[in-house]
Amino acid sequence: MNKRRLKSILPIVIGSIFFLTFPWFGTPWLLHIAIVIFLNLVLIVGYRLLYITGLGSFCHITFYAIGAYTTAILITRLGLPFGVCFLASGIMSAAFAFLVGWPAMRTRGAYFFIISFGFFVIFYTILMNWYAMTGGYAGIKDIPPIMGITTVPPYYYLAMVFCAATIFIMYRLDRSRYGRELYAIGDAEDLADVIGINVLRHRLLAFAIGAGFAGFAGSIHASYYSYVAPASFSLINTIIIIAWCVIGGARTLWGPIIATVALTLFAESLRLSGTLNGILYAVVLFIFMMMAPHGISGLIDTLRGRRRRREYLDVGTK
Amino acid sequence: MALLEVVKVTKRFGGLEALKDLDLQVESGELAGLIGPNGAGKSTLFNVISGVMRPTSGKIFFQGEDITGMKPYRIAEKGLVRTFQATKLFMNLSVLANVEIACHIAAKPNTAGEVIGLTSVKQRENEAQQMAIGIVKKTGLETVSGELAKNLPHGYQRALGVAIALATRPKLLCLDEPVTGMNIEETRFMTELISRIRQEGTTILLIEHTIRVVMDICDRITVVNFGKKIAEGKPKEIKSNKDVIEAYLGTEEYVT
Repeated sequence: MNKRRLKSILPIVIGSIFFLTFPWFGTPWLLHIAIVIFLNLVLIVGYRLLYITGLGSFCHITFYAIGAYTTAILITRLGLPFGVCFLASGIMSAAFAFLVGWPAMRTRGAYFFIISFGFFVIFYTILMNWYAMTGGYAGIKDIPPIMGITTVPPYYYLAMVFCAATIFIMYRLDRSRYGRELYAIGDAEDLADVIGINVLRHRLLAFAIGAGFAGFAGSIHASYYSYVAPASFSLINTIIIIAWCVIGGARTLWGPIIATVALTLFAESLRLSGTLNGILYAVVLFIFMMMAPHGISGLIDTLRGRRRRREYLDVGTK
Repeated sequence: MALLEVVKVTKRFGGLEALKDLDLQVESGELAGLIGPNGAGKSTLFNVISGVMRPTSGKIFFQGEDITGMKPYRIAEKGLVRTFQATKLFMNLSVLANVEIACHIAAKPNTAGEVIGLTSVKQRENEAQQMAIGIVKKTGLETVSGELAKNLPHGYQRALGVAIALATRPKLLCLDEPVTGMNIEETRFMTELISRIRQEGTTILLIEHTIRVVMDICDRITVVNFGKKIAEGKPKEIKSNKDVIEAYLGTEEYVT
């Protein structure tokens, strides 16, 4: 028992020490990549929540954008403190999710996908063209840093704590009754309905929670980069989020997390190595999907299943 | 007052009338059977009662309350729960988890409390689990309670479908062809299970193709054909009803 406890705590302790001391031995470039990964992780665990129920949206990056622009506009125009902007960003994104989700969730599968794509296009067009508010293609520059801090480590810690908190909440949510009901909806929507689960409300809530966290992440993005521009919230960015989720496989929380960390590192390291990188990225994804159609989650499940079966047999022989 | 009252329900699909001015009552405590040939409108009636479809006209009352056009989850909350003809289960969850999800219908979730880790919420979850274990045992699934639903043999899957519905503690349980495609052994097990559920005080409305089962266990049988009620009565009366034999059973062989 004690040994098992130690075994479960040890990786957390080592991990915490590593991440807490990282700014001392990490290069600025590595520190930057770590921040990117932290924000990406918040995006993916939020996106996954609705994905579990069998609905994939195309507009998750849009909620990230809404958060980033909300903070950018509130800070540069009204000079509000970061804390207020941060909260406002999350609330704004969640509110938009409700607004879009309310009608859109009455459709299924491909239809919902297309409607959310429509929302993405509308919002992107607004970002590009409403110069007075969004700055158009150039975006909004010179966003004042949080409390005047311009060094990287504080942002590293901010992103890290926020990411850890998000993953913790998602972890608990996953195991909560609400989380299990989301899985149930993904498995058999009509059965969930006739045993008394309000499918529409569950999905809408999942969509809004995911969007809210994306909004918070966008707020940190705006302050960290000190500018926002549509290029960070374009088609390729939203497709990559979907790719993380599919490659990770939504059935476990860890699948998409592993996929996001691995693919972000992979993409960033390719950036150093010349022109063929995009093709190499695509080839790796392609091969992986051929070999593991249920993603990393599928691999995790298989391993767990094997272990469970072994335990089952052990019981049988005793 | 009947527990369930279907009053003059009509359901039209384009030009086709699947149900025509159909009346049906289910009294509290009884095991009512509904039979009819393929395409008679039995499944449509189930869909209309459980809120999956809205009737073209007519009313449905449950415990005296008008539930016509309500959403399925609302109707389920009121205590009217159905099973599906095709095996619809939460395939990627374990047997126990399948039942546990359905156990929760009465209590509102406290998701925030669960995320923070409140002990009172944990306790309630434990209670639900205990209840789920009880139902798993009652439905004869305890040997496979840890398996994923998709890995179960057909007979077990059908039993799990009933277990899920039972876990919601329904006042009226509507079973849609629970023994279809089962072998003799599985059929006997399911029949006994249905009788037991009924003895414990749950009212049951049963749709079935296998006439034998309906004749054996039902108190009262309603026969429909072409969306209309053609006979109603005790199994014995139905067996000897000329209309039924001619219009539906065709030859007497089927009856015995």
